[in-house]
Amino acid sequence: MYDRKTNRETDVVDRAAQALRATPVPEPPRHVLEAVLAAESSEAAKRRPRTLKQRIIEMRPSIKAGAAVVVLAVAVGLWAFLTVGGGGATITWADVQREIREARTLTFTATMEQNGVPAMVVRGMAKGTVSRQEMSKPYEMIVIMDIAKKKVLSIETKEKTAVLTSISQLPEAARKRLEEGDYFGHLKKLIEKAGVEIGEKTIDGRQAKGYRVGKGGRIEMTLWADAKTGHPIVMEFLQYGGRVKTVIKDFELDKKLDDSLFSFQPPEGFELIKLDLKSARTEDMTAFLRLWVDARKGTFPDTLSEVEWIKDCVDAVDKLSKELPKEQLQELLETLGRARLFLQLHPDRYGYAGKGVKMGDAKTPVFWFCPDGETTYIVVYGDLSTKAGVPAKDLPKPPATKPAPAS
Amino acid sequence: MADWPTVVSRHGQAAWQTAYRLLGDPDEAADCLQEVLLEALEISRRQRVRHWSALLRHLCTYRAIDRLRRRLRRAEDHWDPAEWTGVPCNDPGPVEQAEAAELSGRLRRAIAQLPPQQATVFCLRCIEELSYRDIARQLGLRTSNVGVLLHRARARLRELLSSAKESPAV
Repeated sequence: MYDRKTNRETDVVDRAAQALRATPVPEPPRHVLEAVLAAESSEAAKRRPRTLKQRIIEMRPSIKAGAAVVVLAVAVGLWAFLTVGGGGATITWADVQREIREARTLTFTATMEQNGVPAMVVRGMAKGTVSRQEMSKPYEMIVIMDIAKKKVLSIETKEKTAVLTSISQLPEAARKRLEEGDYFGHLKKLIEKAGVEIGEKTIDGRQAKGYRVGKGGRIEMTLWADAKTGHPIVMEFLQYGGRVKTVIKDFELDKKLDDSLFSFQPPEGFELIKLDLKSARTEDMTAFLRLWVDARKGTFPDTLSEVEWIKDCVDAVDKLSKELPKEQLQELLETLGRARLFLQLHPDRYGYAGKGVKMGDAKTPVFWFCPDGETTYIVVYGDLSTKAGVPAKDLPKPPATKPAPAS
Repeated sequence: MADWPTVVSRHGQAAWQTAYRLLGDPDEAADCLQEVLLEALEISRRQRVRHWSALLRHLCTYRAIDRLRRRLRRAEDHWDPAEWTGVPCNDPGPVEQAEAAELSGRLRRAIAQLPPQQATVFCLRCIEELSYRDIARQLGLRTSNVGVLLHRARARLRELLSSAKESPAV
């Protein structure tokens, strides 16, 4: 029914809005635009946009504590590939084998490169099952691991924070992955594998003999050893089709290493944070996803890579760390740590398809994972509801490619 | 963070237009613009800005409404009609021009009397002509809520504009 009065009144609002829209507008005041440009340029000199590495470096200590769990996984990841398979045949590098097999201590320098750009340098040392890794930027941490005692100490010297992580409550499978951090043990195992002799060359004035293991596989290793003594000179690992390269050199065997280097006593004046790392639960995963989606204003991230996480969530977690009481903050860090460590340790036991999905989409599966000790999967939907007991054959189709983990 | 000079040169004009049309006073609009641009600069340092134009127009609208409300409080103590109708309109004839200026002034005054969220939604939709979706995104609302707020704002504005017409002293 036509309502003459309402129509007239509507016209009043519309006509008024039209009149306002038609208001002639002069040119913007130049002095204002110049002032805001000057404000930015003077600030910019002092505060350039932070790079990803800077964002990590500038994390608050409590956030670094959460990151320490991931550093642990990175530390393990550096060495996990030492398990590369080879044949069981006798090899020609018996001298190399003996050199390493009989050594009691080992020190080295590892440089990781991503796409040809140095990403991190690690100074490593090992004594029995205890190891110490001094990591450069972006982590800038010292990580001490005692595989036998199932504990890890991450020391952040700039922020004077030490995070003691117990892995004793992790299920067997996850713990075994972490125990791959016993890189000295792995190196000893590796040299028992077969290698293909690839020739000789001079490195730093020393005649070196080269061996290759794992060619054509997921990871390829080349070792150059002193042609006379069998002492290792350089080891190179290529991963992800050559995009990630790790070069290990400066090997020293049987160097005297003081026990204090492997002490689990935090340096004096350091704040000690204890984390008990248990198996990731469904609630950990959903809380982790919720925080991430909130930080992205309701949209699931494109991937679950560590780099994406840092880009999206560092500021959000930092903000929460200022607001939450200490106990809740501890709980949050443990929750996030469990979830992120699961992703780092078990890339083969989860799938993700959340790219572009909006929070609240109850029909779209965004994430699925097989918890430690389980044989079926838990599927998480876009509204963070879950469905347990899903067999692998009924899982959603994963995306075509899975991103390389952050290095 | 985006390239700031590019943001200012590309979107500064639209932000200025928003501030100027709503406030109708060049000095106050200039203050509002400066305040908003500096606020947007701070926001861009904390988070990625995807829609600069919508963000700046939202901030300008919000800040300008705030200034209109303050102006209304001052006006209630000492009302100066010129403060609300000082900007001439672009219409060709002097009578139409005067009518449009008077209507604009009344609308500014009426907007200042709306609840802030209703006022913001009305301005973004009916003055800035943003889509429901963009308004919802800027204000963190559902599009259905935008519709409800807009409906309420328009109903209240009808009342205010009608009563203002009948009672010019307001």
